[in-house]
Amino acid sequence: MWIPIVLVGIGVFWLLSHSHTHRPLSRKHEEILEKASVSQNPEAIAKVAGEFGARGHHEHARRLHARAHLHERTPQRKTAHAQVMRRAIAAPSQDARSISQAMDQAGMTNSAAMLNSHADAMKRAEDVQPIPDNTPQAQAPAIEEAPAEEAPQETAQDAPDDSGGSDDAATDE
Amino acid sequence: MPQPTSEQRKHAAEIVERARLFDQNMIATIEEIRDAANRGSPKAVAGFQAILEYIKAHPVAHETSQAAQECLGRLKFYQNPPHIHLKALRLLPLVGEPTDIGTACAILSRGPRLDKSRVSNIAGCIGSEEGLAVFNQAYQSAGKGEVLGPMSRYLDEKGLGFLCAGHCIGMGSKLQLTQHENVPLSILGPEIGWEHE
Repeated sequence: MWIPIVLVGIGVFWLLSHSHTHRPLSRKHEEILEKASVSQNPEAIAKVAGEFGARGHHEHARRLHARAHLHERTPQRKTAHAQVMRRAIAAPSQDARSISQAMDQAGMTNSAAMLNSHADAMKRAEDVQPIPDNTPQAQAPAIEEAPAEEAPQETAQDAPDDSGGSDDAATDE
Repeated sequence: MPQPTSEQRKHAAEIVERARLFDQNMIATIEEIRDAANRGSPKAVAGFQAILEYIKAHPVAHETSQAAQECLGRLKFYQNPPHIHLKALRLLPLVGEPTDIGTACAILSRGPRLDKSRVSNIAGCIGSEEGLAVFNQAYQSAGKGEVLGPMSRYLDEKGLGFLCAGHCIGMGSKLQLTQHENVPLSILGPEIGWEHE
């Protein structure tokens, strides 16, 4: 007699938990997730991670939890992650994209986004055919020539400022 | 999670493609499906999943214009003289898309070292003090949308060309510098630096 009741109970529990877990995020939750994913406040991120976990969004919770604890990594692990990032910047686009996904999973959202847009740019760059300047004029784009004799005294001597952004966060043009 | 049926996938492709052509009914349909999915309707969850999968698998293709391709091609031929590289970068914002500017940064980052002497050679081809000032400012602020964005609003076409050149060379240089272990990754932005502190 008890067996069917227990089975129905398990079924109801599974249905409730399953539908709760996989329900898409509401717009408000998406906004909260987006903010927490780039936040630099570990306590706030951990709080949001807890909330998402309690609501059954375990994957998001896990990623946020990793971000909240980024600063608790050992120095060796931090160095290893930085090395991976440096290598990814110099790697072919496909490798950079894979590393970007791994960084995202590890809670390094901004690094992942930067690498992803860099991978996109690298993919396009890889497809560009180099054109030497001896191309016939008819095929060349009309680029205004700068008069060489007016070359100024002053030139850019310093390295660019070291607090810049990503290559696609560019010029807002 | 309910999986989309083949019929739903077919329907999703049609809806997305028509929405991309600014069909208002299809845009509203996508919103309705999303809202219904958020309310928990299994059919809508599967339908919305099919829409998301289709968008992910079929991103909007960006086509680089012929003129932008030629600018990028001249930039990628690293043996071209500095004034040709400068001209290509100056023309890019006029004939290309913002993504082409990112491509230029990537091309420059893979080229010969953008050290002081090479940057000076390129900057030395600039024929006006105003142009040089814009170039230098953009070079120093490469990648900083909060600086370059407002600057771009006050520049004419010529100025935008110098802004683009400065930004691309600055970004190319920063990307190259990340290969040195003694250069902090915060060079790419404080938000990236925070993740590697």
